[in-house]
Amino acid sequence: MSLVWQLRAALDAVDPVPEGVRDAAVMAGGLLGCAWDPLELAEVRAPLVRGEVRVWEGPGLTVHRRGPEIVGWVPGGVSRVDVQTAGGHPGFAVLDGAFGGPVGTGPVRLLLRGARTAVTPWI
Amino acid sequence: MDTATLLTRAAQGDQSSWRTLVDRYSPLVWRVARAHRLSTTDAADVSQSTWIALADNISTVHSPDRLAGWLATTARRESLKLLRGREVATDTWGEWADPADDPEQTTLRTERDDLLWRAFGALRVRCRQLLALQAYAPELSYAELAAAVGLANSAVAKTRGRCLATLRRELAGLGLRVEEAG
Repeated sequence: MSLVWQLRAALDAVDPVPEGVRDAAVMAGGLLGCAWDPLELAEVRAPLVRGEVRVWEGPGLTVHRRGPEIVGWVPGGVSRVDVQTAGGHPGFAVLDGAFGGPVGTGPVRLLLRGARTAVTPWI
Repeated sequence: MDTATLLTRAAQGDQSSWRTLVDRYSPLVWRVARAHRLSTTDAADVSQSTWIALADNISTVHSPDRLAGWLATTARRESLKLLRGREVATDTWGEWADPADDPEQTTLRTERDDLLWRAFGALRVRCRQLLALQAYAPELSYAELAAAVGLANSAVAKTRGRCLATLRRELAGLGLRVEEAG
């Protein structure tokens, strides 16, 4: 066996791809082939509050992320928000135009469920 | 199934094809990120960003036979972006040579694996990237390797030779003889 192949076997044994990393890669392709409307979001300056908060705004939509938590305000007609994350698709009911809950700290993408589904970019 | 077919089917929403692509190439993406000495958490972020980039651009990958190169180049770019964007506390090699106190995993590791790991860890980042790419994507041409590692095309063969020679020296220093060329 060549040295390069011996090296591969050693790397696989000592530092294998964590299962969660593979799962996140699978989740990244979760919307391939689906029909949805793209929804633009732009990051805006966050208000001065304790802790690091990042804020994005789009048409009728505002999203705040602080640590693993997400909070958002959505346009009328959206009844549910599903969040595509590395670890799954947590879903949140929209109450009085708002939703929120834990989504982890990695990139996420929001699926706004209403008469049609609109999808944000990864934030 | 060949990569072109998998890409076409995945783009149409066939999750089984997408999972096969992930199974086939996730070790390559992981290895490129780890070659930059990123922690497991940061390497996980790089991996996710790389696969998101592929999902977002899957219909624009015009040369499926070059997917490995595309992924390696993207993973390298994402790693560098992470390293530039903030102070990343890269692990020392000793720390991430023992990624988990998992008895089941530890028993699968041989002493030879550990010596190879230590010798690999002593190499420069570029050598680790280059040898890892050769190990996980042997189909890459020298031009693709050059793009993925950030070398001139003409330097790949010479650099590879030097990296292998250094690896052999490190292994010899650890008392491990490697007889075959490689």
